[in-house]
Amino acid sequence: MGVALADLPALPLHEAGKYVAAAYVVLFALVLIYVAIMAIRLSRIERELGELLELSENTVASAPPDRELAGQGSTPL
Amino acid sequence: MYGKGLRSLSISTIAVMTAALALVFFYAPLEAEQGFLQKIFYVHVPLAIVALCGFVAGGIMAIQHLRTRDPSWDMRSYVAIHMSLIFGVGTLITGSIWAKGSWGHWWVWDEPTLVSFLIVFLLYATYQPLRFAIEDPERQARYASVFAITAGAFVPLNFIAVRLSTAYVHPRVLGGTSNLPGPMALTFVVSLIGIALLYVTLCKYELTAKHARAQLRALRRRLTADDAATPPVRRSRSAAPTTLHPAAMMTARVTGKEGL
Amino acid sequence: MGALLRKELLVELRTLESVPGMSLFAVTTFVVFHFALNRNVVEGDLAAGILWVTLLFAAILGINRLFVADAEEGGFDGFLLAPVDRSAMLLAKALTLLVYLLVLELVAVPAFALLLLGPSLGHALPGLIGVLALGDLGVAAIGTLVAALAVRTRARDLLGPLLALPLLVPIVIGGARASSPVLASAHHAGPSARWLLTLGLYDLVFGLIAYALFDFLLED
Repeated sequence: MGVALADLPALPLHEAGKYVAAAYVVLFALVLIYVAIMAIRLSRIERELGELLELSENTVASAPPDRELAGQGSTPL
Repeated sequence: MYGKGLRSLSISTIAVMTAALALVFFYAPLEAEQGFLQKIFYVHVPLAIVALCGFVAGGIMAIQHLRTRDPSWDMRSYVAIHMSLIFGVGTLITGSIWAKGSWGHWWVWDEPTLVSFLIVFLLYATYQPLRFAIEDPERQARYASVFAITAGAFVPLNFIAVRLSTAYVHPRVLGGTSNLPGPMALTFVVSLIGIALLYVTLCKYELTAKHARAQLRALRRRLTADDAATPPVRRSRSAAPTTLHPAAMMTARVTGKEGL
Repeated sequence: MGALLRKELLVELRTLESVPGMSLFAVTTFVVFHFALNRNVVEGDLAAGILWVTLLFAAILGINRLFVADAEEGGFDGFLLAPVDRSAMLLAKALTLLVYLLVLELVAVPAFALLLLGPSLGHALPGLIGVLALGDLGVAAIGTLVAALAVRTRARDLLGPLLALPLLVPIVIGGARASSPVLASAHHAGPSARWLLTLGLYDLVFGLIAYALFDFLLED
């Protein structure tokens, strides 16, 4: 307590409050922006997985005989 | 498996940060000189400390990369530096807000933390352009590691140099943590832990996401190579490292060559 | 390594690519400063600042060109095939850059004294030489590392300065602070010991780092 002999007089609460709030908003925004980025990434991953699933189904459907031969490709003679 | 501890990590981050916020606004006493404005201290300084440690950690991971040639170290180094850069921006913005509140200017040269952060930020801002400018992924990772180590060593030295050069006109409210009264010290430590946990959690998120994308890419390559169709040439301009660990890298390289 | 150093310096003597350009740049910059600051004489802090900034930017010019010939004419491959210790190349290049900087200062410092410096250079000279020498060592170490890093990238002219400038800031801080008492007119003193020590330590740390990391840049 006591007399503040600083050359930095403390701002009244309603003014200082705005600055403090701004600083904490920065922190909040940082986290939220990251959540948004992650959400976009997640949907992209989901989409790619779907495509790959389709791709693998086509592969299995279109070439079952080839796959069997390929599976025994390394039989030693 | 990067995503393993992610849930417990996130929960602890939330818990600690909530506790920190509560302490800041309901427990920590008002500081005599600065009044309510001083509360920014509990955001700005932990951000600064965590960012600086992150840069140095990125350098250490880069040393590991050069020693073991394991690409996963390079990826960790990249993520650490990237995240520290973002936290660094947060430091600069919150520091600027504090400066405006205290002295009426958006920037002050008297705060060595702010000034040395600006220099460090300018340096690390070249990290991604550097990676962008090298096509070959192995060389890119190697050069990036050299940069990360140099820059990581630079961070503490720069801090010291700037501190030495600053004229102590104003009492450095932001810097001095040695004479904090008890409740304030507790609040500060909890805030620091919270921000550090946030950093680690976000890095883990990033690593897990990158790893998942890389696995998807490898899977796609394998499926399309099996199909004997031309794999879509992904000229990804991303500067981020895309390899996982040596085994996967070998597979990726082999199938990639077949495709071409 | 002696042979390498000799080759570097001989090439420079014959082609005169870097040093004349750097020196000319420095002198021209002093003229620019005269007009930009609207002053006829400077001293103390201002003098130290102008001198160091000018030397810094002229050094950047030299750093940019340090490995260019090697990269373009396949000098790296030839070197890698030869049974020479790779750090020899680092030392040769760093010493070359050091020599460039010393020659640059032989031109720039008298030009500075002539054009802009208020107090006479006489008593200041020994102290100034000491500070410049320490600063040059640091610039040479960091400059060589950054040059090697930037030369085989796509935007090498841009990346080189962008990488070098922040890393060289502490040298500017140390150099300017150390030389400002030397260049003051009122009561010039010797260079500040604390800053000389800082410069020396910085040079040492980054010299070691450059030495340790250079190999990794030359691998392929």
